[in-house]
Amino acid sequence: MEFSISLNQRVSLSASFSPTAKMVGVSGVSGAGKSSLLSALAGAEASAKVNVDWGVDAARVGVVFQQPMLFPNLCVQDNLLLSQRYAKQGGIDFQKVVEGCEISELLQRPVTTLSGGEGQRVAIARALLNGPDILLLDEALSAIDIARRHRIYHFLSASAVAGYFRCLFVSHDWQDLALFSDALLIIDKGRNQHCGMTQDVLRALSVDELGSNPFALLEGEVTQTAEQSAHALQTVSIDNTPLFVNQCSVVDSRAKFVLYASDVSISIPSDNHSIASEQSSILNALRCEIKMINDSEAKTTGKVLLTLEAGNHCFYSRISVLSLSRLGLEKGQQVVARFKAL
Amino acid sequence: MPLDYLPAIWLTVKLALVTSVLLLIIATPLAWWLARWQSGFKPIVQGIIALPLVLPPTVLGFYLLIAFSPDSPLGAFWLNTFGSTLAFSFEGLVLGSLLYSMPFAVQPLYGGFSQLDNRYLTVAKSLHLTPFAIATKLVIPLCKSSFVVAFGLSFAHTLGEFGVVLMIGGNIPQETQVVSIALYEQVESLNYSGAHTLSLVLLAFSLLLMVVLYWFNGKGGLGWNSQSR
Repeated sequence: MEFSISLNQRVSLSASFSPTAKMVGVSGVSGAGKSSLLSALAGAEASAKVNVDWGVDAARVGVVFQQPMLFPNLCVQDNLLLSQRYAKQGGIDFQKVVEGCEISELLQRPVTTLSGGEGQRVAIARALLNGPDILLLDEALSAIDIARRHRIYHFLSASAVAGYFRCLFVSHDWQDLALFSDALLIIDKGRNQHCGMTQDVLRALSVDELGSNPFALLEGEVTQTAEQSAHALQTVSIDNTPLFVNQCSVVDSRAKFVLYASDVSISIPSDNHSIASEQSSILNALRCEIKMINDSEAKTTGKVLLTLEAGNHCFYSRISVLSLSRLGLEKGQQVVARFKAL
Repeated sequence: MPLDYLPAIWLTVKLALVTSVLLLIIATPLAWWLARWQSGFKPIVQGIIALPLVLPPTVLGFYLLIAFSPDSPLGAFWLNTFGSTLAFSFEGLVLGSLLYSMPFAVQPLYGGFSQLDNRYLTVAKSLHLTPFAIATKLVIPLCKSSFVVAFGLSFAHTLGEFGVVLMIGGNIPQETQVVSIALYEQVESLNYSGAHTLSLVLLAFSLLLMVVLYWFNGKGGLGWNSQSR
């Protein structure tokens, strides 16, 4: 998949993605040109110069906007059936789409009575039933609550892996992008700032580019699924330490989850006993080393940002200047990072 | 004898009906194109279409009369093709009414089409709906009230036509003698009871039409356009 777009000098970028990238995330600050890019790719910008190779002959491109744009003169089911009537052969089954987008109880509803999130789910289903080769989503899940949003992303991701379509989705939510994209495109001022496989792009991003609350994407083997456990949490092994995780994306027993700097606290290990035996409601503890202490915001916010490393995993912790001095933390020091089951 | 006026009433209704139907056919693509056309020349085209709103009907009628004469290209073409002149004929009246009532059909449709969120069309095209399906499943249902208003206003406006008819149609019973002309004739011949009857017919019918239109508009579908989902 590759494209180059130029639109009124606001957007001018080209990007290409590996064929293995089925879900491509697009991110950037407000006004960076994300929506213009998708709109141009959808063919809705008459003045845009668009050069695109989707990797499919005569690709059918479906688009879903943040506003669901359901046809208001039809009920939910008729919106879906109208779309399906003009679909290509071999798309996803109607019932599967309805279940995947969790809209079976909405089918008879007039479109005008749907809430924002309900409308978004129907709009995605409508696009899927048309059998697109390429699905463009412009903040199309933004009004859906997080648990359901993640389930729908899972469904989209699984359908993409099954070869039904490839998906380009714009989101401002770093967790969604990190968990559900195979590749990432980061746009700034209409230019391609970073582009590549998600892990590589996240590693290449500086802390400042990760937004106000920096995060790390951690990946490990699932040793016990939420269904198997009595506590409804996944157990994921990171650097040989079992961690309990709630919100994650699991593909083939590999789990990905996002760890925000604000969620990580630091403690000094006492040498003699195991870190897990300490009494605390915070479930997860991970031995790590302080690689860097960034105190550039210490004066204004009273906080510092620690860069931590456990094995080959790198993540962040934001703590107060007071904690830093009380614990006497220094670069290179061995500490225990603690965080709740996310 | 009110029955004497039936031919004039029927002719008026027929003229209004034919004109409104033809106007919907002509004005729909015109308004659609106008709503999507971005150009510095747009005000000129809009001005020309809106001209009958302000121009004295006699001016329009005068120029039409000139155009209908067998010396002009239009008049000559008509005479050669149909073997009769356009002036003082029902066909001539229809042509005049089309121009005269054009803005009343174009304006509501233009308004409706302009308000239609472009993203509906983007989505519809991305779903591979045919242009026919986009028109029948989406545009016409969403702009239904604009079509009703366009039809109703063209109809009502043609009913009240006087100046243009007088110039190009004269006063030929069953051919060009519409109600407003018949009324004028009654007054000229000091037949006030006949004038009362005809006036009352026009007044009542026009009022009824306007009330129905406003009732429909207040109840009706304009709400779709302002909603984004």
